[in-house]
Amino acid sequence: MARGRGDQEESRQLSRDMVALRGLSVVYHQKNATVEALREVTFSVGRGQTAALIGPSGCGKTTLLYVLAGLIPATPGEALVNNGPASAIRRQTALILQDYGLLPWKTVWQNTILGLEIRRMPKEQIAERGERILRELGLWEYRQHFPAQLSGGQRQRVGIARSLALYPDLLLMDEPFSSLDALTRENLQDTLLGIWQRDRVTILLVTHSIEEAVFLGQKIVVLSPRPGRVVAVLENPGMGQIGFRKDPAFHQLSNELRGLLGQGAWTGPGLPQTDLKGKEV
Amino acid sequence: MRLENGLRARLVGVFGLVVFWELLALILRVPALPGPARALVAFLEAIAGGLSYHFLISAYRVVLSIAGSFLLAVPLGLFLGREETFDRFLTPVIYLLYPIPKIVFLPVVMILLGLGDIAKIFLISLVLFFQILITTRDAARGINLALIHSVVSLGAGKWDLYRHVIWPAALPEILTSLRIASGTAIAVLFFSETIASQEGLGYYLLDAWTRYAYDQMFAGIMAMGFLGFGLYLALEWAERKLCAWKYL
Repeated sequence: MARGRGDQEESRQLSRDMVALRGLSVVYHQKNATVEALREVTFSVGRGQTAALIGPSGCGKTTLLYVLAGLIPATPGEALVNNGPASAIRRQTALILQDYGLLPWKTVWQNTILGLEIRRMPKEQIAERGERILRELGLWEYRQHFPAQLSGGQRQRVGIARSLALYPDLLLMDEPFSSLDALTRENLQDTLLGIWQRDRVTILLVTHSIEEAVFLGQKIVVLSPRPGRVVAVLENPGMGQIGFRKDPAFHQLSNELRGLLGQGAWTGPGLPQTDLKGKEV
Repeated sequence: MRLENGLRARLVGVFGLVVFWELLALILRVPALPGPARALVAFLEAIAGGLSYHFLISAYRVVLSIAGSFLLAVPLGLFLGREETFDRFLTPVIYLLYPIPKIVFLPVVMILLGLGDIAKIFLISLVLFFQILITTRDAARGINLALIHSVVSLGAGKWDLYRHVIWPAALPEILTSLRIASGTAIAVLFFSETIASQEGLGYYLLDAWTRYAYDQMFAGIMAMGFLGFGLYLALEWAERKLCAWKYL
């Protein structure tokens, strides 16, 4: 025990942040144009914390996740995950994409254990872990189904199952519930909250839904339209409380966020406010 | 249910073809086009005679050619579809060679490989190789990048990507190209078997033709049809088996 504590002390000296972005800018070079996706983004997410990243479409939210997953280089600037540079090789980082990234030719079972198979885990261990996680997420009965035979919510559950099977310490999610109906969405948000409360995995979630950001983000980072810059970082201490959706604090923060997103928050260079219209709620 | 319906539709289709043939034979009334009944009788007689031997020889050549070109073209096609640098070097070569009717190489092939099976199998494979290669490459090229990203983020290396994403994603189109290739294969087979040959359906057909044995010739034609149909059924079965996710 004493030794474990010592280790903890040491890591604390480095940083308690799981994710740290410092002055991150990303510019895409396309055929004839350069697109500035992110400009000097700086924020951090503590170990075991959740953060929601919210902003209008095309503000570089997805790009930011790709950088943290190590799929896009972080230059100029710095993107640290667990005190090391973000890298695709880092095995404890899990990325869940918007369309769940499930392989249509693999069954629920095959999709779920894909990461374990790729990591050459022993067969018995794969079988044991795969079954536990599918049962946990209520997918065991569907293990022989193909993704096309599932509802949107079930598919997203498989995406989550596949990531959790790897026992990640950082979960990066790109608008995970945006295409689901309201009931399914709240249901899955509850599931995710439950997983977080049990495992304390660090979650960074990209969303364009105000309610989702407030329900799932201990910290809410507001981005401007392209190029995405941090407009505000809100703390959300009430997150995770029982019945938080009906709590006055929930609605107060939602309204504050709505205000930030809706009016005047964008002071970026030459950005017309109409960019946001129709997209804000 | 579905299978039964499929079977019924197939039988109706075949029946329609037979009726059309019968009518055409009745209208034309030429010895070169016997009706289906006579052809069938000739076919059954020929089966008992030498036809089954020639059929098996031809089937052996075609199946081996398809398998050979598949084994060579698919890995190369998948690789070129994913590696742009190599693709840029090889694409001009492929498109220079692709339109050339490979049959013109038959004399060279025969000099190098002799008159036996190997020369014929080589020639058919050469034709099929390009068809399968180009389809496979394009299929591998068009794979959704998000799928690749999501699997890379699970820790996949190059080999994992080929195994779990690129190969299964391209497989349906590869099987389609094989189905198209099976028809081409029989056409090339016929040609190669009519030159300096003593066996195979091509030889059987041409031999009957030169003897004006039209009934026998049609027995050979039917055998060729059955060969193609058999290949088609095998490939369809493979597709249902290997791409179950496509048939939900």
